Amino acid sequence: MGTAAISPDYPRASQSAEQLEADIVYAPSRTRILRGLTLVSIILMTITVLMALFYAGMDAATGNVQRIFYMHVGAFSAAATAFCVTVVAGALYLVTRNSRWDKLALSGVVVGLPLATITLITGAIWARPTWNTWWTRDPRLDSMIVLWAIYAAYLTLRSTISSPDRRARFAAVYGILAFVSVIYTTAIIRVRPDTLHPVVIATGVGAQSAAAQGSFAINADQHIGITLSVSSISWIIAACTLMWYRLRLENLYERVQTIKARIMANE
Amino acid sequence: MTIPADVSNTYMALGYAVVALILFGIVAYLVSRARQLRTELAMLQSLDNTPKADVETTSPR
Repeated sequence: MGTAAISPDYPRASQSAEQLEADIVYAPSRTRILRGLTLVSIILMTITVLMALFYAGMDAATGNVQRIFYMHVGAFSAAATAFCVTVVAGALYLVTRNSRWDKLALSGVVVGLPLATITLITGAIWARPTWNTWWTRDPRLDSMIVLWAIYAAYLTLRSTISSPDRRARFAAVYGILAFVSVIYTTAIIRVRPDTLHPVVIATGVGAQSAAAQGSFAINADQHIGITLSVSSISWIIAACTLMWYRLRLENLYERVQTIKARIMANE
Repeated sequence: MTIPADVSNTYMALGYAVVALILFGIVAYLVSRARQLRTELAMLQSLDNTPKADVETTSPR
């Protein structure tokens, strides 16, 4: 009995059940917003798929496989947004030391990593008929797999540190530094002249690498640009919705662990 | 270079199937984990609210 026996991992275990309840109960208006956002995400994702399959024009050379790009680019935009959330939340944690920012930073990576996986796999599927290989040594492909490994390591890092404060501090710094890989991956196709990867959103002559194979001309058809914009917006909104749910899951987990720690301390 | 239509369609279908599968996986994880935690929470809350004397008399020795 007493606070001395309470696990240092869950310092809130000394709080009363009413206090915990008051901390975690959500305002009904927020839950309504989340439900609305979920509905909007489902509708937008459905519209994206329909536009990608039926509205956007077909590429004369590569055919329908080019339609994968609407998912590939959208998923990368959403992953980059989720990782950006991790940066902002990590910085806010370092300033305020409030654990809610750490939970938000974690949600960004937990949602962003599967989206980066979608980007990698859809890219490989597109590459097989276009480049005649699933995977090849290429600056863009290499940087993307490094990005994926860096964010996978973020989760490993968190699981190896037991002290919550230390874990949050390390993860915040790591999450901020890891974002360099997102910037590098985005910029590489516009900088390196030897990458096979086409530049999807290109502005001006010379934006495309000389070695790029498999075109995606956003300006070739007005429908392509519109579909790509709708796709990116839909994916980003869907990622934000998933992050919100993941954040609530983390709050629920913390509540369970806190009550568990208190019960054990009282025995 | 022109990709035959049947090959192109097959890879497109594969790409969309992978996207659907991973998105389904994310949603299924969130839903099942939330259910599991809510069940655990309800159990712990009932245990937490039980007076100490009751716990001692009902728990196995």
